[in-house]
Amino acid sequence: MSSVTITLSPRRGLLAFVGSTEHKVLGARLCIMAFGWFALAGTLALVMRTQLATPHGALVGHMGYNELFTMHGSTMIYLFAMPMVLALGAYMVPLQIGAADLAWSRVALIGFWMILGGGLIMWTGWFTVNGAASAGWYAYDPLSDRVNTPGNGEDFWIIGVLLAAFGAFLIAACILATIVRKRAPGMSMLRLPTFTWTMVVTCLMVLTAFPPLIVAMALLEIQRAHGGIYTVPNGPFAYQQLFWFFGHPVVYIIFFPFLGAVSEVIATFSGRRWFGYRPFVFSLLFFAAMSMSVWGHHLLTTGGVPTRFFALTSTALLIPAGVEYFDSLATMWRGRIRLTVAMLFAIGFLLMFLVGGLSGIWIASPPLNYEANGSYFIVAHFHYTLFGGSVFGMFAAVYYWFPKVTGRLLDEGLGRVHFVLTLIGVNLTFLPMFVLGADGMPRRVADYPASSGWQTLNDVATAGSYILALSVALFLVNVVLSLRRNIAAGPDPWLGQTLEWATTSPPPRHNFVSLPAIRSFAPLLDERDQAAGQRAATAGASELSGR
Amino acid sequence: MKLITLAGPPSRSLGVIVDTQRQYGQVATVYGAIAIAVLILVLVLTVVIVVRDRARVAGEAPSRVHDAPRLEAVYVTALTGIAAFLVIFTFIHENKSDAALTTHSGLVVQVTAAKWHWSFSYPRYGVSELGTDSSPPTLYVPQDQNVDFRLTSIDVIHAFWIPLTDFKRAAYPGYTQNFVLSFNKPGFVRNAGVCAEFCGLLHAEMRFNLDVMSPAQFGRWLSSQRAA
Amino acid sequence: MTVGARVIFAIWAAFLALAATVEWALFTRHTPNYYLLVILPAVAIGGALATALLASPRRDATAPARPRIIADLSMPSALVGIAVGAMLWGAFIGEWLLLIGAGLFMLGLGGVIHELVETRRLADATTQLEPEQSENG
Repeated sequence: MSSVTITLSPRRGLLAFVGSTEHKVLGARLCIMAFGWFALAGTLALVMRTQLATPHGALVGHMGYNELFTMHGSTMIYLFAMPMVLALGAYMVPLQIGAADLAWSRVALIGFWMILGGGLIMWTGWFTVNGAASAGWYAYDPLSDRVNTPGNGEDFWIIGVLLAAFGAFLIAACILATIVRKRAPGMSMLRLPTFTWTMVVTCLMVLTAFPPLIVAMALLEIQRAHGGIYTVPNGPFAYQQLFWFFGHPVVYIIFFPFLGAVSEVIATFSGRRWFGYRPFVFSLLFFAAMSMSVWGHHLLTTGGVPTRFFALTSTALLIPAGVEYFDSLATMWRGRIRLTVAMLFAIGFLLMFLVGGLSGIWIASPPLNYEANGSYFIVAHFHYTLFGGSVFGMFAAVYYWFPKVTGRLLDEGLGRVHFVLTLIGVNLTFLPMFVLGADGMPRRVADYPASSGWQTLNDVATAGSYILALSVALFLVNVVLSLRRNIAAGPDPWLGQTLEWATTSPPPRHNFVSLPAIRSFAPLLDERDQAAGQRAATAGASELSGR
Repeated sequence: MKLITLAGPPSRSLGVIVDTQRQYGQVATVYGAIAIAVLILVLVLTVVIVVRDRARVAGEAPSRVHDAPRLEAVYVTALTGIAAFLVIFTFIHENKSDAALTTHSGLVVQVTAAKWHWSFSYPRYGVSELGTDSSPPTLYVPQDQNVDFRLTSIDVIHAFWIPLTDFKRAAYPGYTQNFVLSFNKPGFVRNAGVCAEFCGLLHAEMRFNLDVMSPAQFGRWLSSQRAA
Repeated sequence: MTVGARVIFAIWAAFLALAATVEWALFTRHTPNYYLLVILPAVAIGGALATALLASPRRDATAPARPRIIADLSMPSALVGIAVGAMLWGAFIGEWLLLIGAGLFMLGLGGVIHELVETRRLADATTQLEPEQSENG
């Protein structure tokens, strides 16, 4: 940090929303945008669940339904989850490592506008003659070519994905560069807070996994416009490989940062240092690298991939995942647990993601995958990882960091209701889908036979989805009420452990007036421990233990 | 046979036993038991820790121990052992199901997927089963015989899935997939087969029926088709 | 010993190489996987080398002290992002939008370059004003 900083232009108001390069504005802007897409894509899901409440539902036709799930999946992945991850990173990483700003902040700003532009272009597909994109969020060729999916909606979708992926790539590069180059004095790589570590591996994965997606999308558009790309022998299979080479890592990209947020929440509200920091960091790197080599398990039923290799790598993921669970529970063990709403969501994250993770091990086994692939079992599995995991982690992060970002506390009472509704809603919506899938209901169907006996379970899922909608609405009410009630949070309402709690809420333009000494990944906890040690020493007690 | 057997509709209870189904059942039992045990273990541990260590007024200071390298090493070794067991267990059963899936002898059935219907032909007998606009086709197979499927698509990627067999395979245009199933219980199942890879507008309606016949019945059906 | 970012890239590359080696040694040498799995560690090793050469924090420590100028607002950068979208979308909407997008893109790019030049000029001016300023970030 320099003591001389010159502000070139003012930074408030609408202009700031368009052109601010400050990392906090960038993070907040990404977060608000992502939440907007989350609400829109969630609404699409409600329409789908309503359609499926009865066999031969008549709410939307087959075409409408295909558009709905395509846009729901694409919006959730490319426009909600990825930007939300980057929003957390852009806002919190500089604060956690004691930096004044994001590296290459202009590039990050360009990235934001590419994501927003991409999203808007993707959604204008609804207004074209043939409607929005309808080839699924992975747009397999030849289904996504002009013969099988005519109309500009699909073209808009492809350039939307291209732009969003490119924008995300740029922002991730900025975050990684910030971590590499802008750490405060004393902040070595092995003193990075756990959340920042999850952003390190996330950015590494973005940088390696997104280029294949960008290439695949560019080629897909050329294929649509001129042909000749995927029409070679095994061309459709080549697209699948390229797509899933991105498509599997991306679900870890939108998982790790929430795991990091949850680890901060658990450490803070257990009053303890995160347990087993070094094994955790090492296992994160292993986790991220292994998850780059499991993409073929999406293609186990194609007969074209070495199933045993992908079964091996996919099952091996249980080792680093098991380490994360061990560290989480060990951090809570003999801690002083405060069950704030953030902590409730963090615990919910651990339990709900476990269902997703265990079912993931299940479908990594080819004999089981031959049954589950393409069925509602898969839908249940990845919604437990993405909603039970990522969205729970997001809410843990939001309840935890909201006071830091806004300077106001979120209401805990409403928050508890929000948590309970979310927990009930998730399980009601997605648990029945395991049974439906095992019973033979394929995914992506607008219709199922009345004789199938699937209506009851579908109705339970539909009811659950309405509860989820209610819970999200309640969260928004909580945000508005809490902002209006205006209870000042102070710099450190939770007894935080990392540097972001060593500055005001919200932090000033350059984040820090002064930094505490950084001797570990939890500098504020070090300070408190030291102070407690001194008090104990002066009182004559001999409670000095640990470090 | 399946681990999860809630809400099974009556038409499905006929049961079609093929080897893939046997492997699925055996792997599912072990995987399911382990998964449920882990889920319960973590759930119980979490509840116990939260209840026991919840901060109370003037409670004790939190523990200062923040790593346990030896314990964690033992734990990682145990996890690796579990992963190794699961992988080897899976490989053993995959070998068995692969052996069954690649025993290329017996009746050849050519399965062609197209938007949005299936067709089955029996090349040696010059018989084809297409279904009509209003009713899906039926896959007729003899009981207790290897059926050698040749699966292809004429347009986009589809996937051939008979949920009762716990097996599916993707169908690519311009490429033929080969697999063998054998059906050990007779009976007719309406809508027994579906398309499991999203293939466009009427993906949801791309179904077929399954009729497992005794060899004698099947022979009669073949000759009646050839006569027609 | 402090662990630098280079080590992280190296560990990352090693893990990726491990997956590629396992596939190569124990399983079928399946062409697409093989390409994807081998390219990855290669790129990661390249990244590690690039970081080691370019992003060494020590270079900053020995550089002459210079104040940091942080631009708070960069409308041209926003314009570049929007213009890229407009150009791509213009390929389908019509040539007019493509041309507008291209124009905006050039405008934005010019603006960004202008900003960078301006920032440097300001930094030089400030260094002359306060020569004893030091930087530690």
